[in-house]
Amino acid sequence: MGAETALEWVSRLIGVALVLSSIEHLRLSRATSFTGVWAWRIVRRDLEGLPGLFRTAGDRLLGRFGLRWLLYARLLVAGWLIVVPAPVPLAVGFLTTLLLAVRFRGAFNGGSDSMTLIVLGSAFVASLGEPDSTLMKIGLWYLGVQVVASYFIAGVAKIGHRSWRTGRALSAFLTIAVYEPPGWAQRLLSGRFAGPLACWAVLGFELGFPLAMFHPVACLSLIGVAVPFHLANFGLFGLNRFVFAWAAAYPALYWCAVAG
Amino acid sequence: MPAGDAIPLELIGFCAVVAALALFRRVHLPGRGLYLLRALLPSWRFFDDFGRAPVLWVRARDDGGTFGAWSRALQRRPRRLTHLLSNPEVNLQLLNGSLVQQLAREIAALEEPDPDRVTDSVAYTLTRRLARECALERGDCAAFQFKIRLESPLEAGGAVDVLVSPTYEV
Repeated sequence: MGAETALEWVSRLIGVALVLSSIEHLRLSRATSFTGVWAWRIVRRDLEGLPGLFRTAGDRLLGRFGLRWLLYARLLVAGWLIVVPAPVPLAVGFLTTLLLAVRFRGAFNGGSDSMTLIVLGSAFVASLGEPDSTLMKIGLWYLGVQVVASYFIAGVAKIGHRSWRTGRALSAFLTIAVYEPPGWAQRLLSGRFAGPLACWAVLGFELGFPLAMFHPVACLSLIGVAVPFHLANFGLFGLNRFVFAWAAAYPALYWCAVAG
Repeated sequence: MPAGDAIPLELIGFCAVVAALALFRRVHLPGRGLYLLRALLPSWRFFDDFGRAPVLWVRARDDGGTFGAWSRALQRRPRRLTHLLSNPEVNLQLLNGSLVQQLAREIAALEEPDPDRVTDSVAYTLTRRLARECALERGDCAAFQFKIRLESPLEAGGAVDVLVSPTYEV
C-alpha cells in the first residue's frame, strides 16, 4: 500500500466517523435533556478572561444557531471527504471538531475526540505534500505512532494498578458502565480465573501493540484483535465513536508496517 | 528498510517526548484556555485507575414538602445494536458523567474542604441543571437536592459524600 492510497483510506474513513458523529450532535441539539443542561449562556463563562475576540467568536459559532450551522458544515465536509479526499475538508473537519470540543468544555467524548483530531490533523499535513513526498510520509508516520501509543500507553497505565494485575478491574468498571452488563459477563469477569485472564488479555494486547509497526502480518493480526476489542468496549460501555475514530487510523498504521 | 520511507529522527524524538509525558505524569493544564483545548493533548490513559468514582445522586421534594429517597441521577440505558451507528443519548450520558468528574476534581483541588466555594463554577452550575433535569424526570418535583458521592466496589468502608447541595426550587 502506497502512502497516497493509505492517506485516501484514512480520509474516507474519518469522513464516515464525522458523518455519524455530526448526525448524533444534530439529534442532540434538539433534545431538552441537552439544551436544558448544556446551555451556551452557562458554558460561555469558560471563555471569561480570554480576549474578547474569542468570546465573540464563541457566541457566533457555538451558540444555539451557530452550533447547528457548524454541524451542517461538518456534515458537508464529512461527505466531501468520503467522496473526494482533499486538504480543505480535512482542515475544516479539524477546526469544526476542535470547536465542538470547546463547546463541551474541552471534549465531548474524550478519547475519540482526541483521536479524531489527530487523524484529521495528520491527514491534513500529509495531504499538503506531493504523493509519496516526505511531508506525506511524516503525516502518516505520526498518525501510526499515535495509534500505537494510544494502546501501549493505556496498557502501561493499567499495569501499574493492582486491580488490573489481580484481575479485579474489569468487573469493577462494569459496575459504572452506562449499559447494564450482561449477567454472564459480570459472572465471568468476577470469576477466579476468567477475571484475571481477561484483564491480562487486555494488558497483553495493549502492551504488545507496538509490534504492529514491525511487520504487515503482525499489524493485520493486531488490527484483527483491535476491532473486536473496540466493539466489546461499545457493547459494554457504549463507546461507539471509538470504533470509527480508531478504524480511520489503521490504514496509516498498516502503511507504516509495510514501509518500515 | 528503504531510506526514503524510514521514520524521520525528528519524529521519533517528538514521539518519545509525547510518550514520556503521557507515561510519567498527568499533565495539569494551566489556565482555562488550555483546558478547553485538552482534546489536542491526549493522555491515552483509558480505564486505568478505578479508585473512587464520583457518582451524582438526586432527590426530589414534592409540593407537600416531603423529600423522596436519594437515587442515582444517571440511570443505565438500554443497549441497542443500532447504537453502534447512532448513540446520542448514551454519549450525552457519558458527557454528563465527565461533568460530574470535573466537579469532583474541583472539589478535591480545594485547599480546604469547602464545597461552597465551587457553587459559582461552571461545572457546579451545569451539574445543578443536570440534577434538576433528572429530578423532574422522576415526576412530582417542586424542589430538588443533589450530592456527589465517591464510590468504589473495590474498597471496603462505604461511599463518601464530598458535596451535598442546598435545596433548590425548580
